[in-house]
Amino acid sequence: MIAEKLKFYRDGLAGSYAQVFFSNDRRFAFLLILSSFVDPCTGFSGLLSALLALMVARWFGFSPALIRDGTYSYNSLLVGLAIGLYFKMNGPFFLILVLGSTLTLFLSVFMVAQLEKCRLPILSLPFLMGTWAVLLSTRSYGSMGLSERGVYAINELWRFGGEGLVAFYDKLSHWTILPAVAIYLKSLGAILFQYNEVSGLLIAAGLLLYSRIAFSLALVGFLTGLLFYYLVAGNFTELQYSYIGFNFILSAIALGGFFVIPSRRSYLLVILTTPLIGLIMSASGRLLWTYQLPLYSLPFNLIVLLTLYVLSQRSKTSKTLQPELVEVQQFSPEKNFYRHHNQKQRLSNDSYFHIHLPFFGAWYVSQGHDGNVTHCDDWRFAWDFVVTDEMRKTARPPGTSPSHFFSYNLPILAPAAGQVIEIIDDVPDNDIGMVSLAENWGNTIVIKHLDHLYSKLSHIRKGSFQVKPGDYVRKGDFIASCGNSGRSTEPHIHFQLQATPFVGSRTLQYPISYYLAAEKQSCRLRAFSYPRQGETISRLAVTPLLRQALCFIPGSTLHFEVTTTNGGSQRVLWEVLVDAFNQSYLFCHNTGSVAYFRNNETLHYFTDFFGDYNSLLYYFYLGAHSVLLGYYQDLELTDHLPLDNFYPGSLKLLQDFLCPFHVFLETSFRAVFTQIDDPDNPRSITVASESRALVANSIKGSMDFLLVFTDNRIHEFTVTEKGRTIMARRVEPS
Amino acid sequence: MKKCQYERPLIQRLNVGLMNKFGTRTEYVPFTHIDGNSIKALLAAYGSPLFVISEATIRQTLRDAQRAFRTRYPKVQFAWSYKTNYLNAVCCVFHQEGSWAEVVSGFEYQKALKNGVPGNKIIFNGPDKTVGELELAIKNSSLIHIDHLDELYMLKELCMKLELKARVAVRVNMDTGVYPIWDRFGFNYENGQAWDAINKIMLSDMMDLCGLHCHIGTFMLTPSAYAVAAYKMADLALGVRQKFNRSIQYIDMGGGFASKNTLKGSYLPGVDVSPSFDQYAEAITTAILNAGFGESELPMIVLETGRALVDEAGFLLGTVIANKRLGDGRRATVLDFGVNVLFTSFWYDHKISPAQDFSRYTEDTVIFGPLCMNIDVVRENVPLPPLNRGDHVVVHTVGAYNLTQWMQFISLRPAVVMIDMNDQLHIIRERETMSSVEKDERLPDYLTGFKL
Repeated sequence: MIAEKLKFYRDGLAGSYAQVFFSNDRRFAFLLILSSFVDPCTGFSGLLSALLALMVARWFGFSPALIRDGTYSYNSLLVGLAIGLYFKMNGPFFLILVLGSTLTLFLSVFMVAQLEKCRLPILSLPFLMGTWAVLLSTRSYGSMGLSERGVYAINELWRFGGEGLVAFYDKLSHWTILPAVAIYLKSLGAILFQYNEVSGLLIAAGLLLYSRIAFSLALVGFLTGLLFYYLVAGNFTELQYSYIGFNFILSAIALGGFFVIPSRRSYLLVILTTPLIGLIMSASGRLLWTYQLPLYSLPFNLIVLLTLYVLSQRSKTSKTLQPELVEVQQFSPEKNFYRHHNQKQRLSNDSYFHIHLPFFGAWYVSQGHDGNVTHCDDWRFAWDFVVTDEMRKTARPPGTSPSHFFSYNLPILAPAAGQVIEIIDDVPDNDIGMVSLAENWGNTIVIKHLDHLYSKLSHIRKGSFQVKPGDYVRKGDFIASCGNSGRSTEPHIHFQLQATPFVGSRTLQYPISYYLAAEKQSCRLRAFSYPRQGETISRLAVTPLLRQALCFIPGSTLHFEVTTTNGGSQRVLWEVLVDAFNQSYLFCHNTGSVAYFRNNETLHYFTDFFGDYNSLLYYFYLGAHSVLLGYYQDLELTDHLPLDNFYPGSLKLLQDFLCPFHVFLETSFRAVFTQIDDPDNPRSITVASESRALVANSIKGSMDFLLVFTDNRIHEFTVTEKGRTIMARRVEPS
Repeated sequence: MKKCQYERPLIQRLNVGLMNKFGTRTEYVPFTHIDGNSIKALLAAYGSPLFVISEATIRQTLRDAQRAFRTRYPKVQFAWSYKTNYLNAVCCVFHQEGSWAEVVSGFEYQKALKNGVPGNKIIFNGPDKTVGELELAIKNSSLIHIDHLDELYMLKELCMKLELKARVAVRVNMDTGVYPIWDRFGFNYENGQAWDAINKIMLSDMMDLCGLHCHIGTFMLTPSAYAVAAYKMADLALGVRQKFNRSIQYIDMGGGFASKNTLKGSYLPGVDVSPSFDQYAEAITTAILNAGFGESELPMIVLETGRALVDEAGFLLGTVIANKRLGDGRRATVLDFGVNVLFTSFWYDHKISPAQDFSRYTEDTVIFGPLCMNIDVVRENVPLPPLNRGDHVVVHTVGAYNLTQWMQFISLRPAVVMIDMNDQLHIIRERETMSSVEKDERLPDYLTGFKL
């Protein structure tokens, strides 16, 4: 119980420090704590204030998750640091500290709740208000003595590190090649109210450890700021003595990589917004001077919030809105980038509703989108499907009656679940050679799948409807038969998606979720794609064995007996869990690792992994990264692995620096079905998959996997990497 | 210019009716080539008579049938009915196109195995399966279609002895509105025998009920009978799911699809009355799709159709031996093949085309075979142009049953030739010789040598 409590406060404290730099990295937090203690009083005051905020927050019963990650307390930490720097430690000092910390906490809670509505962060607004309140109020309290520590930095250094540190500091300040470097380091230190280069160095090191992108952004922001001051011949003393240059640094990290996906454009955004910060800095400096208040991080807060709000107001019609805002915060610019990269590569289709082909067997696309006959203008996103023989003929001789055509009277299926909105069923089939232009669509059905997503099937045979308006249909239900009614020269299925429920509505560009396209000898899987004119396509069928084996029911457990080539043997336990956001994941009880997965009834795929890169779960995450739930001999499934959890090593560090501009690392995943005992009624299916790390097509790392599914569950899982083999066999719980 | 062929003069009665200056016309045109090979050359090379199988026709017909079903239903499997034509070459064409094997005897079972069909893709039908054959089928995981309770009990005992589980299906017979009802095979649906047999299997752990099988008749000219059968089969499958929570993997609708032959006594020619694959497919698949299965639990449809797939690919080539006038004045033509090799002439009014040019005049003719038996009549009455001795004829649609039911009777059986996809010829069964007949004969020593 006590250990649990201690852990909670430890995490809360680490979070409070790291969040100042938008991080949740504990190592970074440790470096920050260390650097805040270069002036011990300030450091102690800050620590105490953060701890106080955590305790009060817990006592009030705010969201434990937000307390634990430091969201509510990092502003109090900053206020504590400020109070520690400005005032002498005495009795009233602690009273003010408690008050300042609590006030800031309340402000934080309020602002988190309010700004969340506009999807904006609170940044350090509570800190600004808290600190200003303390500073203004204490002017009327006689017992609060101003400290001189902030003025005589060397004294503090001596107290902290003795003669050695002072000497080191002295050397450092002489050795500093550019005054700019000194200003930079001091500005970094100033974020934690440590106006010295040692703190700055520690923070800079921490920043590099935490994020290469943040490190480079900090430099870019700061240099742009300096350049701006130089160009407008600004007052450099503002930067030199009040160290408000950190506004450039924090804004650069926030806008260049934390709230915005790092990219060329995000760097450009940093360069564009930095002068604005300079402007606000000078302007607010003047205003606040009236009340003799320091402006602290006011410019950073104003400009970042303003920019984020402005970015969120962009019109979404354009497809490539750059720079893009971070949707799910990963607390690291690198992670934000790689997640986004991976999202773009493989998960961008997750938001589509699954529309399937409306027929059995292989059909030929006689007219696709923007077809040369009738699919044009408002009706350009439609398909016509016919059945042909090997010679591409659509009818048997003499082909003079609709019934001679292969497509005629074939079943039409519901493309997805939905409700039948409208049916037209009074148009007779045309004789071959005739078309009915008056009844353009012929017999038609419109099915509603979602708000603003309807499918429409036309030229249906009169009297063949198996459903009526208002009926609910399931995916694949037999709804009618192919006919030759309306503007149809020969029997075919006209299929389109539309945003409105009318017969004759304009078409909507919306992809077919999964289907097979025939190629010379084999077929290829198409995902969220648009069947093209001239292709022969068919529905993808799911194999019950695979569907059941990869259906992980929340609450169920998987036990494995793991053996490695060197003879080791271990039992591993996974549990299937679901988080508050309805995301399913596998949790490894042995290592605490977590692998998020999705199953969309056609494909099982992993989306993310956190934890131990030597765990069996990690290998499973890589080996079963994407598995098709339908068995098709020789059908190859390819995918990408997230760079950040399949590319440890030094190349990755280089990539971190470069990733906003160029991604040179590549990963590939490939899976094929290699074995099946009986294709019609399989009891056992084997999937071979491989994960490759590539640089310019040369392989830098590879792993091979073998997954055996038997009797509706995973039976065996083998990993081979550099001659080492790990074999896991599913066992019964002991 | 080619020399005109001599035709003997005919006397034809004038029928009262609308005047027509062209006279009555025949349905026949000279049929001179099969897949680019001239009949004359074929007979010259392989002798007369001669069976010819067109591989292209087999593949095309099967693909048409597959397309008819697969564009209507997600899981369809064809199984080649061995008894229809078990020449290895023919079977292998079907297997290459993805068909399983459907056999009805130990002999056919062995043949399928020898052709390389995996044991689990052989459907073992028929009322007569011996203990040894069943044992082999169990070990090979073949699909055993149970015909009667005695077989069910025997199978159960055998499984216990072997400690193996048999993959079985129940043969069901039923009233589909077509009479006579074929109720001699399998278990009856209406009186509950079938459900009883299903329960006996489901309650035994020695057998795995994979499918349900029916075969409602032969040369079925009404597709709606299949709809009735499919509905009843689906009802049984859904019953199994409801009672035992087990899905039936497949429904085997058997065969019986009509070919384009004309049955004796039929008023209209077969080409006009035989339903197309699409009609059969629509009847069967619509019934099963509408039966109430979920999309993912639809059972596979197995089809054992034989006749409709191979009949049109077979041709019988022969030569005129003689012409004669019968006592009642009818014209008769004697050919060099009879009911011994064209067994199906007992059932069908086979279409016979002359293989050379002829004029438009025809005369009602009786076609006799060469046998010295009164039953040897190929066609009782067919309007044919006058044929001369040595002329060639082609009998169409003979691919089904002839090459399995033909007799070595009085004369030796002819050779069988297959024309491949590139119109090349392959002999797939040699003409019989004295030794092939006498190979298995044994003459007791005391019978050798006699004086006459």
